[in-house]
Amino acid sequence: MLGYALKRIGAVIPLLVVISFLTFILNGLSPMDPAEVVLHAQGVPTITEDLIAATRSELGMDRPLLARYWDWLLSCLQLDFGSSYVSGKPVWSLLGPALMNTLNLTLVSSLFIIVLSIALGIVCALREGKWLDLSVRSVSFLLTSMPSYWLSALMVWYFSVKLDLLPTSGMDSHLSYVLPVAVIVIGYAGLYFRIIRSSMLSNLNEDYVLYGRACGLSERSLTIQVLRNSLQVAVSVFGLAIPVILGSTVVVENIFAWPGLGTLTVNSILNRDFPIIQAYVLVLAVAFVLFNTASDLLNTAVNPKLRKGI
Amino acid sequence: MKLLQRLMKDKLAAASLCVVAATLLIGLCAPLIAPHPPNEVNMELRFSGASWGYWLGNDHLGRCILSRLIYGIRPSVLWVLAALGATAIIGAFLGFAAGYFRGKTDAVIMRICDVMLSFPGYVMTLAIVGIMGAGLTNILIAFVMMKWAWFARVFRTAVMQYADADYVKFARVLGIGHIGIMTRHIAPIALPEIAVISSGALGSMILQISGLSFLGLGIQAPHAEWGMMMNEARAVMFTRPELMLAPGLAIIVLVSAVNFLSDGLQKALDPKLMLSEKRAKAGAGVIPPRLSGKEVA
Amino acid sequence: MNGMHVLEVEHLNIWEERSGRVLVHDSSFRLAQGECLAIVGESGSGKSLTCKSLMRLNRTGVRQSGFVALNGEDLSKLSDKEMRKFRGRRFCMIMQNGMSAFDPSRPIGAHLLETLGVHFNWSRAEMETRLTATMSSVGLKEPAVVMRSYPHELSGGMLQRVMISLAIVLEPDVIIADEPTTALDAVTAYEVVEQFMRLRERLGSAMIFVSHDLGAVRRIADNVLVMKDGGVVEHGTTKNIFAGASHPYTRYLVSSKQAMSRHFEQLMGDADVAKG
Repeated sequence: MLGYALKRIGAVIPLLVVISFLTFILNGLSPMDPAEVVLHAQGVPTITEDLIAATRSELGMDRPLLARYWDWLLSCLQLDFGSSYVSGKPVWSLLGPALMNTLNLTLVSSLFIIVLSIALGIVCALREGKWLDLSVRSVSFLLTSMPSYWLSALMVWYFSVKLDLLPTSGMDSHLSYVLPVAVIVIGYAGLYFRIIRSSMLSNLNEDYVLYGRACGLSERSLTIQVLRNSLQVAVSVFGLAIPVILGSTVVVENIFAWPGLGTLTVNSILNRDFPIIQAYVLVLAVAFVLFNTASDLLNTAVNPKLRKGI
Repeated sequence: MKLLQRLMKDKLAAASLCVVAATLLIGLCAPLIAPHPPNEVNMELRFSGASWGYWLGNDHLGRCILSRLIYGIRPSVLWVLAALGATAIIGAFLGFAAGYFRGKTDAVIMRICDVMLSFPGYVMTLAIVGIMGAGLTNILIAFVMMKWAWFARVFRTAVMQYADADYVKFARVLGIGHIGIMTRHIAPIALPEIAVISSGALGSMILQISGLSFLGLGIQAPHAEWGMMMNEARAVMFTRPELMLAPGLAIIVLVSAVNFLSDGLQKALDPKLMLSEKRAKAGAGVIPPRLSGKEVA
Repeated sequence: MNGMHVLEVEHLNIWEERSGRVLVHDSSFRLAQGECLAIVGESGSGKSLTCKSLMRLNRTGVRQSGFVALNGEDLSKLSDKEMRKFRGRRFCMIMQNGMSAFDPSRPIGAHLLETLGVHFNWSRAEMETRLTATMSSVGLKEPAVVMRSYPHELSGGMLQRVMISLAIVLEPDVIIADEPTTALDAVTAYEVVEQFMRLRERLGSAMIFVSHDLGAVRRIADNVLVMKDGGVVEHGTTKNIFAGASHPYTRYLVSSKQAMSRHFEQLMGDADVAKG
């Protein structure tokens, strides 16, 4: 197991290098010269060729690509992502707190999503075809077809404006979490609840349940067996889900003015603040890879069938 | 055609197909159907309710909401469909090549896919839009760039199943060329599967792209787009919440229809599912690829 | 006459609740003490359903009616709880595919011990001694290792033997083997059938042997029941069925088997091989 873990972690390193390189050359896609962007952002009135050339060398852009990549990578490893074109502040001083706020939102939401979808998945699978199962499935189907911003607007209008129960935006108290978390949970729980349900159902129809029953084992014991095997799927599904949720809170953050990565990034995109966008991509891509690797390892640890191939 | 016949037996799927087809048709013929030009400003009619001339009322600039809704089909649905088509074609081509030729081709294509898929899709879309600038075209380009790898991987799995079938091996022994085998033996069987996978992705794509437009990263004013219309309505959300209603319901109805259609297609493709859903073989430890690739906007 | 039969099945009907489709109609048969009855027929003929309905194990949505009695006791009158006590202790099932018959995330031993724990008040040590003894008697070399193994670590033939040894410890009245050799290769299948024959000799329990392997049926069964499209088309002694069946379907089954083995013999040039 330890050997496998080391091998798996070893395989991640080249992937991280490729990811960081792709992120680095992302700027090359821009139709505008970064030097020009900087000058625009700093509000320089007349931009001359000389000025652009001077800024280019100031930003170190006249050096070879690989040398620049190497320097960039080294400073990224020290959490130095350069400074914002717009405000001139170090990127990490803006990105770090935003990342924490988004992580909080994501983890709280994920917790609710996991609990809710496992509970609903189990209950619905055990009552397959009954009214409870049918109604939960239809509601979840409807909710996954609903744009999250529409749902958010609806909930803000009802809970904050009409009933005046919850804050409309910001991150001031625990109550601020309620609406954004609710929107994220509604968006994802339906999806993952269906995976848990179908995994439960396919397990319930496995031969081992029939044989266990034929041996006289109690339904309770069989349900536990089915649960254990279905939850193995859940581990890998949720391992993949958390980074996906982390990356897609953008819309919800914007609506609720959550001071997180999503709000920061959309503002940076509108201002063409490249260093922030670049750092955002790098941080999330790395988080994505690390979460996936961790969930893979966890999955191997709980599933004896996978352990065999090591 | 058999697929279509079986699909029509499922009433919900047939109704969904009608909704989707009608939406596409209305979008294509928007200039003929829309009662008013979508960008015609009429300040006297600001925020007026439904009337005979303007069935769904007017927005903050007095523009006809119904006409904007109809014109909005073009970027919200038609262009998304085009982008999906492009993605599916690129993905199918590479996936076919990888699944059929195996060996080095497979290894190279799949390594690239691995790297592409290790970027979270939504984040990359934002990044590409951020670097290239806001706008519908850039969003669609970002989508194609991010999604092809996922399609390629799914198609590869599908093709691998069929490439191992006995009659394909037989055809290979007979000396039928690669292209002959692919077009005559593999493509016809794999195509319905591609239809199911693509229709499954369409719903979430429509949601995501309208979400980006809602954030102001997509199509720019004054063009009509469903997400954009909601963005405009958001400014007056507390005083005129009813303005969010029409574009929101349009998206919900369309996306539900697309999702039901995709479900129906899947059932029609695999009659076993129709008899009893429990036989769905989602073996322990395996995540159904269709689901794991879905994201919610 | 009645008292001599371990198992009596009369007018067994099985149908799908939702569609009303009849899956097995009006089948009746009896099983005497120590008798081995083979049920043959193509897949979908209702063999497995018949077996499962004896133990009331059909999945939800499948209903059954008719009279099933074990040692004169009407099973349809039992509550679910009473029925559960019968399963395993009085009826023992041996599944087709050993690979999928055990919980994939538990060692085999956990299932075996749990089953014995349900039916007997033995200490853990006693259960283990009995299991170890029977396992070695069916040719499993290292019983302790087998008990600790997960299903995917053992072969189909080994898992089949594990199920047989569990049946030996349980000493049931009726053993139901649902296509026990189908998933195995020819050599392993031959050995497993051998084990079944020894099992019969040892326990003296009645056995229902579902199979479409007519070679195995010929070796093990006293009587044969032929099913087609959910109905019993023929019932007779093995000898009579193989010598001259009256129903055309049975004749077709037997002749196709013979044609196949003749072809096999010609290919192998060795008549002995075909008997497996």
